[in-house]
Amino acid sequence: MKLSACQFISVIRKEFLINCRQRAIFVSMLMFSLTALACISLAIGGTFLESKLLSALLWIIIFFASTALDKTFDDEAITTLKIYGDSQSIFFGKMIFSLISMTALMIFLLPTFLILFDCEVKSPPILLITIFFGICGISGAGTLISAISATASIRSGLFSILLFPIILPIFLLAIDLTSAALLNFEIPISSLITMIIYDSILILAGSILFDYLWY
Amino acid sequence: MINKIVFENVSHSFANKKIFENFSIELDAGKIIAITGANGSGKSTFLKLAGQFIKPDTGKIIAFDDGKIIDKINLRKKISAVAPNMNLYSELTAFENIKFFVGLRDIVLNDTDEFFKRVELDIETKNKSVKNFSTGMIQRLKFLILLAIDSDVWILDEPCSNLDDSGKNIFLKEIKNSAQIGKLILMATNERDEAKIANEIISLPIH
Repeated sequence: MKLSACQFISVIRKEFLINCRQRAIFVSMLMFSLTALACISLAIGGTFLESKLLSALLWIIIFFASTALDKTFDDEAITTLKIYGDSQSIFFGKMIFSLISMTALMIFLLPTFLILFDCEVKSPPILLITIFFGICGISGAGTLISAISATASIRSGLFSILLFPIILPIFLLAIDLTSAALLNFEIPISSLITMIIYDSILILAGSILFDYLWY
Repeated sequence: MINKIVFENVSHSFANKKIFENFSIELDAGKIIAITGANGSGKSTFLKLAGQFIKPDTGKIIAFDDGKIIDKINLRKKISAVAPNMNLYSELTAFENIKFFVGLRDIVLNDTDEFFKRVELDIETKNKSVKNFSTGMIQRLKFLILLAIDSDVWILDEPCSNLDDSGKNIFLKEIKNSAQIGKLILMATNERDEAKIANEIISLPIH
């Protein structure tokens, strides 16, 4: 397993150029988040929501927005890419681009969420760290599952069906940590460490499995 | 440098049709090998098997690099191709496509003008989006990428399709020159002009 910087940068640059010109993945993630946020906010009005419920709402919106990553391997030149591209550069290039897209989404989503639901964050660093490692796991799992579903003959709903059980542990930990960050409860460091370990295993397993899909 | 690709007792079926049965052959570097046969005879499947893009049902396909057997991952790094099902990125310009695909082989190419001249593609098209290219121009661009990558093995599936006479002449000249410097050229074709330049012709029967 060897990753070349030149190949990796080429993949990220290409993904960036195409997505800037088509804006398909980012716009669908943004529109879903905006719609979900607006609907929930208008529906509950000024009702007080517990931090656990708020955290769950935030991560539900992130989960559904991440289903746009299904298009990661809707690559018009996939045959050419398979001839010239090395599996690890493609996997990590596409994964990092998904992470960049999710980060850009969170820059919009998180402040909007906090303003609309009138949340006070007691521990901003923990919230940001939780969000970062949460979206790392989503990007890793999303990239691998998108590659699997792209090779399947029946694709309908496959991405969401496969994604949900794989990232459920991350969500449960992230909800726990987000809730603690909002309330300034004692931060469950063990949850954060578990999430980082789970992310690492997910990305490593994804990288190994991707070789079998690619070659 | 790839010396040869060997098919050992290869049997392979496609869509419930037996295309190859106990098929053995040595494909040597420095030769142009044309694969001919009617539509559906298995020309493209032969190329995919040779490049180890697919596994045969039974038998072995072995590639030798400087006399040593190499696996399919290392063989893939030594292959370039031009085929009808290979698309380029329509949203990118010609230059961006070239830069991307050569970058995947760790090649940094700042000046592509020489290659544009070799395939007689107008240099002004360099910064034009590929979605505005004709099919012939796209074929020339695919060939330009193949030349820029300069791999040991060329897999060509109907390489001159959609090309005018001048384009065909350029391609055939480049193919001949590359075989002379030791590249292994595998070309699926039904065009007489293309088959004429081959050192060996493998005719696949109708199944």
